[in-house]
Amino acid sequence: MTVARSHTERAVPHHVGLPAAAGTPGRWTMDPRTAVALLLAASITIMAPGGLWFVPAALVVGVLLAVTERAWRRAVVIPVAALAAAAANYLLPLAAPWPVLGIVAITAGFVLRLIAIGGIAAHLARTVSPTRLTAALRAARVPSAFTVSGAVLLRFMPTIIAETAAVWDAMRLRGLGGVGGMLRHPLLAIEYFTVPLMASSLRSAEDLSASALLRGLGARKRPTAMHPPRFGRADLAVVAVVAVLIATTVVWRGAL
Amino acid sequence: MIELTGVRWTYQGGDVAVLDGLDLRVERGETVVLCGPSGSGKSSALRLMNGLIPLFHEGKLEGEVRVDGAPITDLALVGQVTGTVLQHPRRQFFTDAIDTELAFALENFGAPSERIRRRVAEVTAEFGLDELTGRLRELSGGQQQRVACAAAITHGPPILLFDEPTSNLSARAVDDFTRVLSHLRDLGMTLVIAEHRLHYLRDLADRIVILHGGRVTRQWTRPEIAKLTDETMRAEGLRGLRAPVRAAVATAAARGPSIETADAGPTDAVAGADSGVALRGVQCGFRGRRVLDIEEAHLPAGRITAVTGPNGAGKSTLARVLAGLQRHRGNVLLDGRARSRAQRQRETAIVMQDVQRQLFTDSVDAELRLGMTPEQADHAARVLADLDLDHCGDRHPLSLSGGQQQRLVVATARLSGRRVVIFDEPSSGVDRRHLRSMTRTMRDVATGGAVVVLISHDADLLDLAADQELRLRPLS
Amino acid sequence: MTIDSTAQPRLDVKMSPRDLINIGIFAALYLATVGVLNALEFIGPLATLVSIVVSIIAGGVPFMLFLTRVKHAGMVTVFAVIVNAFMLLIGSPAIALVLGVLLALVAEALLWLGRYRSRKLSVVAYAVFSMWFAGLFLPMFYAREDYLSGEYMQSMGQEYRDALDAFLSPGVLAAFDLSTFLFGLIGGVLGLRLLDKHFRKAGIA
Repeated sequence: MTVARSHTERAVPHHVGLPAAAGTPGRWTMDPRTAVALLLAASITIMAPGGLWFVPAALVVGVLLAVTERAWRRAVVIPVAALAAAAANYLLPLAAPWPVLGIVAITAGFVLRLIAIGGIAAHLARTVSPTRLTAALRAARVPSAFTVSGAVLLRFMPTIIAETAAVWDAMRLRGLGGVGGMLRHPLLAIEYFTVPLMASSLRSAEDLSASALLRGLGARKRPTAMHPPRFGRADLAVVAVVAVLIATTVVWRGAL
Repeated sequence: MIELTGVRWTYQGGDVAVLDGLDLRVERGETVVLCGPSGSGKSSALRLMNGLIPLFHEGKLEGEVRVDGAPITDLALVGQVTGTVLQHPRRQFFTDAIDTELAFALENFGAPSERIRRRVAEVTAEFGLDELTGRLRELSGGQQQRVACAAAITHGPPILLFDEPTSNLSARAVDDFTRVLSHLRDLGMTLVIAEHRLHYLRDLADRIVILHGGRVTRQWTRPEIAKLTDETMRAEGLRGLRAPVRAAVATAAARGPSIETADAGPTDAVAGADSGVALRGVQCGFRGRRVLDIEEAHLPAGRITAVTGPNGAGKSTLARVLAGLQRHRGNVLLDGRARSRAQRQRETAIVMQDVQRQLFTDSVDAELRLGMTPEQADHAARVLADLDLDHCGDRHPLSLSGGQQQRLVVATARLSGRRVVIFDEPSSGVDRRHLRSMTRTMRDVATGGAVVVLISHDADLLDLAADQELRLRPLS
Repeated sequence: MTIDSTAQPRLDVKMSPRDLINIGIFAALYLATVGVLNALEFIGPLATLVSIVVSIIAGGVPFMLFLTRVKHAGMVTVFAVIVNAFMLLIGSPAIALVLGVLLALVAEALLWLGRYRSRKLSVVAYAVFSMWFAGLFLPMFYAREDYLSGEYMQSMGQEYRDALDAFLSPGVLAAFDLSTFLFGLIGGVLGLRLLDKHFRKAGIA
């Protein structure tokens, strides 16, 4: 029990530490490997030249995924945000011929692409627990150097974010949190923030690493899994939907 | 089972040997309690047994260590014959659900999936974990400790090591934990427990080993333990042998849904609210869920008010409200006048459980000058002397001991004349002597006219320090 | 029997579980410090750029501490892979991962030249590593045709098009890269300074 929001990790913002509910997935959840592949595919195609064409398809995927996990708010936010970004991209230059507006419009075009990818990323973050993600990466034969360090990264992220909030609280109580002071002495502000953050995080990391080492983390190249990840009906459904969307996009592009 | 012979250990960068001539033998199936004052080397002795010394902590080791007949060469290997439970279960959990946490070691050691599932189901039933729901971090401290014990034995090690396992547990959770221990003992496991609190181990321990200056100075066997008196304990600087019986403490004047009303305190017209802190209609939510709802409460100046209650009752939230760090509805008054959150941030200090979070500079002197007016800084020397820190003005705050760091934070609070000082779980892992000096520090702050708030599970500390108690309960 | 477990730099590539765990911990510390999550929120292009500057400088602190805690060939590469893979998971473009790993290999080579002990080279290595931030915006440049074409662009007049063309020109990208490098140097120096001022005295480094 700690006052300053502490590492009860309660105060972790929604979009960060990849938390997830139960440790064991149900039959109708997508295999994390499929989710990662989907995200990678979206990221690569949309950011490539000509990638704008695939934005609507990715948005549809994002909304469908949000609906399957009953995240109604996200199902609404994704298309609304995308529409706003698209409007800024296409309509802003028409308002006045100033280059500044043009630059904002170009940035909005970039944001539109980020939103399309972000919709899929958000689903992954909310439904795949670090444990399952790690198991999936192992199953995909990612080298253990990355799965071990990556698993620790995912595990420790929420702890540090809570720690960040606590240090920030401590700074406010000492009168070090004022914006004016930070602008006058930015390097000093960075010092006041990072020194306690490193000191307290590394201390709590010590327990974590000791316990993980004693319980054999990284001891074998290929650990086993309580529930080995397996492709199932959900993955088939996702692949089918994505195939239809890609085909539609190609046809649509050809028609224009 | 465990043999330590002539062990001497110095941490890297340390000047003195933490362990010096340590000889200890633990037999199969024995339950051994290691105790001694802070710094006596009991945690280090435990770390020898699971190989963290010298394989994790760096330094210089002499002497011989054998666990299960063999010297220790690899952490994962010694991890297969030992299970370790630390002070903060939350910190050592690697996953976020019970079943995956139990499976963690077995997966890493490469057990077949089928066996992992069977063993996890077995242990879950054995420890009554199926009745727990939700994620690991949402469980109470006692429940988390139970999961940590279960996770430590799922891979079937014959030896279990505990490092101050109850220092963050409430009295009820300690009872629960005692039952778990006695179950493990009945299974024939070898248990080694480093601990300050001895009362709950009285009927479990086959042997109590007292460490002083890194070596064994005394051992009590079962018949001797039965004859121990509180005087002997005090002479050794140890905490009491009996479970602390909480003397009836006055109930703080408060009412509202968040207030536990077991003994009907003064319910109406909170009196004397013109000095100290008063809360009026304070409500707080988190992600749309109500976590704190106090219609009225009064925390008088000059006294120590203990805020207690189970996890999730809103103790931290209340502290954050008082300090002006948390948005809320309603008013918080200081000496009869409503204060904004920004004002309260300037009037309040929190001594956090992890004090490293609030040490910003590179010397004790600089820490005291940070954010002070010149007039305030003039008194620095006196405040340091009061808190027994006068000889370490040049030292780096992070190089001080935990107790000294706490007192340094108290010093900054006193120097800047904070009217409200909140101590958050200040006693985890602290022996009797420090418990007393901590109480004295809190008492001094209160005598100086501040409102002192103590958040704690530690019955010993509450017994020593609390003038009145504000007991919270979870909403819904 | 005497065991002295004081750490020495190791130049072989095989990492112990302990090293890998430390890399994960510092990667998390680095990510939390640079607060990339804020940078990606796109309050506006200017705010993003300012917060990236602060991020690059502040990130030098955990990075320099990292170099004292793990001394092992390959450490920066693994670090970069998981940092950038995490960025990928929260939606950053895939090209950033490629760039990040390439830069890390260069940084790694610099550290190796200094046998993982040279302070000067470690500052340069951090500056090189920091240039991965440019990867976040790289698609705007290599796919510039997408951003600059479109019917309305044609109707806007030559001057307007030239201005935007200049905005997404290789020169701007190079300037952005160079500035991330320079701020990286500042961050590296700050990190070293705090190592001496705080972390060594505290027994953390």
